[in-house]
Amino acid sequence: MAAWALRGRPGVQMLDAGHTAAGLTSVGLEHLRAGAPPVSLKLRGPAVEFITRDAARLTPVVSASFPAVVSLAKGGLGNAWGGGVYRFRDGELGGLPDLTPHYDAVSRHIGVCGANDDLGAEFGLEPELLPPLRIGRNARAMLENYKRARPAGVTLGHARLAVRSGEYTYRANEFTSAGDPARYCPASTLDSLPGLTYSPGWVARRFRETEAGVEVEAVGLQGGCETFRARRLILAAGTLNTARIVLRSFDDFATRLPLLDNPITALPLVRWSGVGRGDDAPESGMAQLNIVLAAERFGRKFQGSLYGTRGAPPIEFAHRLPFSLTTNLRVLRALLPAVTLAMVFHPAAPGAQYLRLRPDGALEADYPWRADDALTLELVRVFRSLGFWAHAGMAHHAGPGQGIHYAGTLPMTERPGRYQLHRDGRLEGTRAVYVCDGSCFSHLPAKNLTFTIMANAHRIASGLR
Amino acid sequence: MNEAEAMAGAFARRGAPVGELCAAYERALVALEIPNDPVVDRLVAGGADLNAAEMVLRRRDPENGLTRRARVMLTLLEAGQDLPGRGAGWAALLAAPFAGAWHWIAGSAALWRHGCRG
Repeated sequence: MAAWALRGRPGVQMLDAGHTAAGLTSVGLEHLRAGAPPVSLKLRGPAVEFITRDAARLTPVVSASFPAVVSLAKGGLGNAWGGGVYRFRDGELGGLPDLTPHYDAVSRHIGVCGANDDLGAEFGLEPELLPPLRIGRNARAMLENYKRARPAGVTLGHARLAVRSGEYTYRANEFTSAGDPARYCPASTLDSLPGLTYSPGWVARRFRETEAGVEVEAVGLQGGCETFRARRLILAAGTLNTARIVLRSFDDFATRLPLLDNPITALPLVRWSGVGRGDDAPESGMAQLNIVLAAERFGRKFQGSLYGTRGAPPIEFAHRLPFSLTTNLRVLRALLPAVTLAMVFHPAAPGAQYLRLRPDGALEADYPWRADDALTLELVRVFRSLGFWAHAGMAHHAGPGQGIHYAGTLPMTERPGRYQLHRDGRLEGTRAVYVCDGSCFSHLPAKNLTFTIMANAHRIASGLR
Repeated sequence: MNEAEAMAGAFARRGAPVGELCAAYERALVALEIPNDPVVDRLVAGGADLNAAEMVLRRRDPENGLTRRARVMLTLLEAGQDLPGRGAGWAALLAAPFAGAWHWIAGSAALWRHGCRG
């Protein structure tokens, strides 16, 4: 989004590894490799494997507690984002200034669908909201039950998504298939920017400030190393890789940078009257509803997305049931139409978690976290009050790393110190190095941060003269 | 019958393009560096019920060689979501424990018969 904000300006060059789906020959089953770390459903399958291609080899992250996902693709992890468009409200922005005009600009550019319903107070009002995607029978029932029951501390409504809903194709296996062009992907912006020199095939390693500006040393995907020169540098390599570049630029193998992520609790919800029954019209494979649990009632504010089960093939769940695989698949075909999947994000709390660069170039991460059993029981109670059966034993806690909401490594503060950012995005201690990805956040509520990253990147790049 | 054909026979539904599937399966095993497994070799050579044997082996070790192979085969099949309808759906749910019990007996017997008692 920084490149979009700089469109039309002369002399803007973007270095990127820039992997795309074109020419992919992989079988696309890497998640089945022995010892493969747990990976989001959105990153499985041949059509999406380019997103993480080469990342483990060229930009490794070593950790026992933080299975990190890094992308070297054109458009980065934005190729697999859930499309959630949520404005951070007052008190959620941490050190970031007001982003309203930048949210508005980005919203008009990407196209946002949804409804100005009860969640408007949580997500903010979009200037040009497209109609929401079609939701399934289960989501409709939950919404109706919510309007009747209004459980204390619970707000439910249509999902806000970066989807041009009128052009969206309803299909099964949304997340393991190639991206729908109606769903916004940052790569599409890069394809249509006047004045931008887009240079794929390079992985930036380090920068060095000179009298004339900044030099960037980059390694070619085909081998070799080259130095690029510019007056100013904007780092937007993704939270983890930006931290890697910054630490390597100062040959700092000791400092532990802070790290934030939203751990997830996934809870299957069953509406028994839905067994074996499909909808007359296909439903969206993306998030259909969002739910917000208020801090006053639940201790902290939690946000969840509710999905139907068309987004992923049943085989992804078959080995988790107790019977033979063919029986499990039969059970799943009967059961899945009755199932809604709640993915509840936990707010990130500051703590002992850190990121450090090792001399061998790998990032070392540690992120201790324990699931809150009391919250799981609360979730079960909330969804039962909305007419859906759930059991705490069926909850799956995907800890830090699997949320892929990485942030907070170079936080923006009023009085920045080393490895912190000024309000204009400039890295303290440098004259011309700016950072505009998730690194900037000093605070991470239980909310998808991609839209706020985009708005903040737009703000920082727009401010460069 | 080689391993790929045996796996397709056990896990693919009728009408699946078996030749294409077997070729993709063999390519995937190489790409994912899934090593030969003597238990799978014995079961395939003996013509065992792989579906039932997989269930028993998965209870012993969720990452056993046969389960890993079966997941590869089923992922390649991209098992679809054709809906059974309400009545058949409930029938499938109610029948599952009985099918499971039968597969448990058949799988245990197959493993015992082929010397894979673990």
